[in-house]
Amino acid sequence: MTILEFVVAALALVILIYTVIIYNGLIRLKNNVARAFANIEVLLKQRHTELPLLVDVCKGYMVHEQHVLLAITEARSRVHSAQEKHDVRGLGQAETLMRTSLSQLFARCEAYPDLKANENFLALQERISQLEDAIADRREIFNESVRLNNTRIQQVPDVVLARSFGFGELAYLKFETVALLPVKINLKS
Amino acid sequence: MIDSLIDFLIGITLSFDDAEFVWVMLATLLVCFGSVIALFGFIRHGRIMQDTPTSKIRSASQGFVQLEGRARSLDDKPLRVPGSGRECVWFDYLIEKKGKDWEEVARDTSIYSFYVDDGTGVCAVDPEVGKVIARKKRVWVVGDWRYTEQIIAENESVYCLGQFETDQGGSKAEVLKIGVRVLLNQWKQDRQKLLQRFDLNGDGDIDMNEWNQARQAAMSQVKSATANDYVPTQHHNLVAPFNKSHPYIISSIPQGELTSRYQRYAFGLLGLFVVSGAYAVFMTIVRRDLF
Repeated sequence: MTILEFVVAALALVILIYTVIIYNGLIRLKNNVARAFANIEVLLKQRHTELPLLVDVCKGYMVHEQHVLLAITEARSRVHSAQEKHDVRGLGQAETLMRTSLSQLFARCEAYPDLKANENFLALQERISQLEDAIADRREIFNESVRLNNTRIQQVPDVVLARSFGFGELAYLKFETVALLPVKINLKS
Repeated sequence: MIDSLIDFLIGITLSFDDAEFVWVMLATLLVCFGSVIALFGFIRHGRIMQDTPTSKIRSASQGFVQLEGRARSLDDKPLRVPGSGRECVWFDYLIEKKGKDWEEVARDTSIYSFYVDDGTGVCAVDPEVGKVIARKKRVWVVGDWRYTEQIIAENESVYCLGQFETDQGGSKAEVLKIGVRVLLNQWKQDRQKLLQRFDLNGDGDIDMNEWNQARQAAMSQVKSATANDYVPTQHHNLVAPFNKSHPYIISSIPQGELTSRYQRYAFGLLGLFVVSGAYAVFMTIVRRDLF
């Protein structure tokens, strides 16, 4: 092996290692997004299980608000369907609908003192609102992971590998956040 | 200029005898390979830092995460650095005495955990096995003594990268079990009172049946005392990543500044790699007779 061949081989090895680092980085970013989405899915599944319980409790009291309960059932099914298809845009739209419907439900509950006194209802309301907050938090991490991925695949030298291996831009999860529980103001402090 | 540098290098390289040449060549190759390995290490870690999103403690998922918040001591009891006595949550200090040179007299690094508080929750950080990078570093000399200390102060901004774990805390049954054990131990301290209360057959001893009654009494007392107090508590911890190739970093230098620093190191190492590699090739050409 001549010196020139040795130098070329050494440089090729360095470039190869650098390429592997870039490729692994792109895979890591993609996996971060998948992991962030899976973390949202866990919460969506928990909420999917709890919502029928909430609707059942409300049904007995809110006889004249069936359309609100129906909207929640409809939103639940849309969220589930989008989640199954891994359709991030569709999930965002369904989630906005869900939050609006839940917000309407909790607002109308104010007119039903018996329902508001029901312990089951209070526990479910608290639980679902905690889940909504956690979903909103995890959406931030998901969107941050997407932003990091989308930025990285546009940068040099990553763009070369990203295009060659088909790493594409990923969609952000967008939905409106609505406060579900009334804000408690502590007048004592 | 370049000609004179080349002449200078040729002169040095030709001045080595065969044994010296082998050693210099080995040292140059070592620097060359060492710098390229370190270079890729910095690039990799820098990219992991840039590519990991910052999680909120309250909703962070279990696994490798990045956290940003303020440092807080456990139980609000800050540590004190031996030497200056400054309050902090983490320290590393070195005390040296002047002799022929500065000689190390004492050195220690804090191994005590502290909290990172990001406003949504707190997470205990274990600095013992992590790479701790502190912004605050002081060196001062008093007479023949030189003090060097690095600290992370209470309320200082910290950036962490590591494995996030949540300990769900004791179940109600466990809490009751411990409560009963503690109460029974308290009762045992006063044997006279214990006999008065539970020695039903009056034989001056507590048999198995009487002891079971004492246990039941303790259980109902603990149950009524904790009926409204039990709240399941979660404890978040940041530990070394399970994936050994991932870094475990606790830093009071922000992420952006730290990644820029890693980039500078990487450029420096790239320069070292090129220079040492070029010199190794140069030596091979100059002493072609040896190959």
